[in-house]
Amino acid sequence: MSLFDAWMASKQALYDEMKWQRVHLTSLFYRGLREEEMALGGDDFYRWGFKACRAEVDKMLEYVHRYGMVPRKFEPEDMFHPSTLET
Amino acid sequence: MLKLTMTCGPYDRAQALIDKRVKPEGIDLDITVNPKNPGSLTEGPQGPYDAAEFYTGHYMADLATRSLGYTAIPIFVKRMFRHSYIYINNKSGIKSPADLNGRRVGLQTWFTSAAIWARGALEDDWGVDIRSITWVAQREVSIGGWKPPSWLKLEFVPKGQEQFDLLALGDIQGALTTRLWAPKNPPQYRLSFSQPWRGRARLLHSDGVFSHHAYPAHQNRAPGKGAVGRHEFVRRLDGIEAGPLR
Repeated sequence: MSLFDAWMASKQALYDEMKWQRVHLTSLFYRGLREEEMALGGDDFYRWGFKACRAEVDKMLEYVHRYGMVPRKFEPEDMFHPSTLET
Repeated sequence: MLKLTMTCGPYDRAQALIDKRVKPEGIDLDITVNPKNPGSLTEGPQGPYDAAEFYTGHYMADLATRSLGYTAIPIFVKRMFRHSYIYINNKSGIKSPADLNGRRVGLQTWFTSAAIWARGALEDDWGVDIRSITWVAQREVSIGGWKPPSWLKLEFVPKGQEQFDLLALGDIQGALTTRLWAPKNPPQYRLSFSQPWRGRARLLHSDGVFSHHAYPAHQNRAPGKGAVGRHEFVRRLDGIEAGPLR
């Protein structure tokens, strides 16, 4: 969990920096693209954490089963360290 | 304090960890940055890293046997829409995704995360029958004694040949790959879905599912990091609208 928390903190540090990218970045369209991106995906569109990503993980597990890579459909709970299931 | 080693790519979202502005509590973390294909670099000079990115598809395929010795944490280091990694040979007569049915289509391995998402999207959203296609993999991978299911038509790229060359020659008519083949390459081999922005909102809101990979990690001494998903954007066949997304 300590490692998980550190990754989350690192991503948050990036989000904080990105608020300044509109000024620091050499780009004509960055700010507009960023605002559009956040309008679609929310403030934290690069989602990490078990609950936030469960639907996506479950969909991929469905594909992995559908395409014959595993003998049965696994659940997202089967694949992560138990300490991270509440994230 | 627990000493651990970890490797990851030079991602902006990892930079605070890499330059130690952020430190995991109770862990002295020694990070090695791998600029190229970090998912394959789980082995360090002193043996395996304690935590590393890893391929989600491979990890999921190993769940039945747990032969890899990794445990994932839900950090998806790299996320992207894999719809835009589908290539076709424009001379092949493929006008819409469903035209891939019955054709020969390349992929890196059957287990490649990007290709898993792309197959799912092609089948669920664009009427592609995955079983009708002869799949031509660049590499053979066997995880936990995996045997291809009986319905799967899986071949391999002949030794000494590259998948791109097969696409150029028309031996395969399409390919799902994480390699960057367009737009630098000649126009006859362009991206199938070439409208980067279109369809993005639908994808994001269709059913909460983003294309992504998860990167589990070594469990030698600690849970590793999870990983991935990057976003890219839905592209369309030239002149053809992408099909409805649920």
